[in-house]
Amino acid sequence: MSNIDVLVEAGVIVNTDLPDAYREVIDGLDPELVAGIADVKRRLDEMGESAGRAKSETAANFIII
Amino acid sequence: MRTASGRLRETLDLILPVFETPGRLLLEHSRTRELYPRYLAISSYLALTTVPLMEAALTRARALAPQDAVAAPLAEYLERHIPEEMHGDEPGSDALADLEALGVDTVAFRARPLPPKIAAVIGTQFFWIHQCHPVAILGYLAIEAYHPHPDAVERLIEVTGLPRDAFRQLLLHAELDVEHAHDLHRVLDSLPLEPCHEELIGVSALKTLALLAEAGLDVVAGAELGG
Repeated sequence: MSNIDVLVEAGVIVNTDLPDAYREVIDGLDPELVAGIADVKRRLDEMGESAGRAKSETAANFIII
Repeated sequence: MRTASGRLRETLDLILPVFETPGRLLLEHSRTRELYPRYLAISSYLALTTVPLMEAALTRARALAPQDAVAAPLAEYLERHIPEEMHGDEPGSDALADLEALGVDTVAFRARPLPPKIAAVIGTQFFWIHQCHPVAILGYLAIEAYHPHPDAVERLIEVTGLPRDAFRQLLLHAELDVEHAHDLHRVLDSLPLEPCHEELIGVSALKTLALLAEAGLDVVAGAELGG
């Protein structure tokens, strides 16, 4: 399974009509990292569903360096 | 024309929905006031180590500069950016002041074991800087392009009801990081990067955002489970 397939299956990538250069970057990533990203997305989805929250479009990152 | 900064943004677009979700969940959480100090701790650990990370990258870049076309201009950028990231008399001291405004004992805070995901962010950077190429630090710094939005910070202040002094660094970065991000993108586009450099920067940025998303999720998900 390619990195793109893993991310599509997890719902991280919705639009699969990607430029070739874009696909190359993603498929060149460490598969372990990609699996981790997909896992986080699944956990977030599960948590969102269990909490019954409405999806918000608010961009809200509160982590700074 | 596609640029290095454009390619990095396209790469990070992949995990932005993941990266921003813990913050959104924090904002909407029933225990936001209780969780905010733990969430702020993530940034405080990063603030304590960002300058030492950049200094390590600067030292390595200076050492490589005579035979490395990327290292010399990278060193120039780091020399300029390190003072901008001091935020206090010593690196991270202003972030600790925000924690103190919440009643956190920052001496005890600094003595505690580092959360594993934060340790992974920092340790991975040190490895890449020393063993691969100091340009990896630009992937870590890419988070500056995804800074807090002032409206979201104001909403967080309102929702928590906590003292405004505990949000000084968030409010400051909501303004400062706009320019810092532009500067970073200008540097990315001006460096003579080879594909191997871009790949390292891209993986560094992805890894940083992914681990920090997980660290944020640990705070809000831990609370979901009663932690």
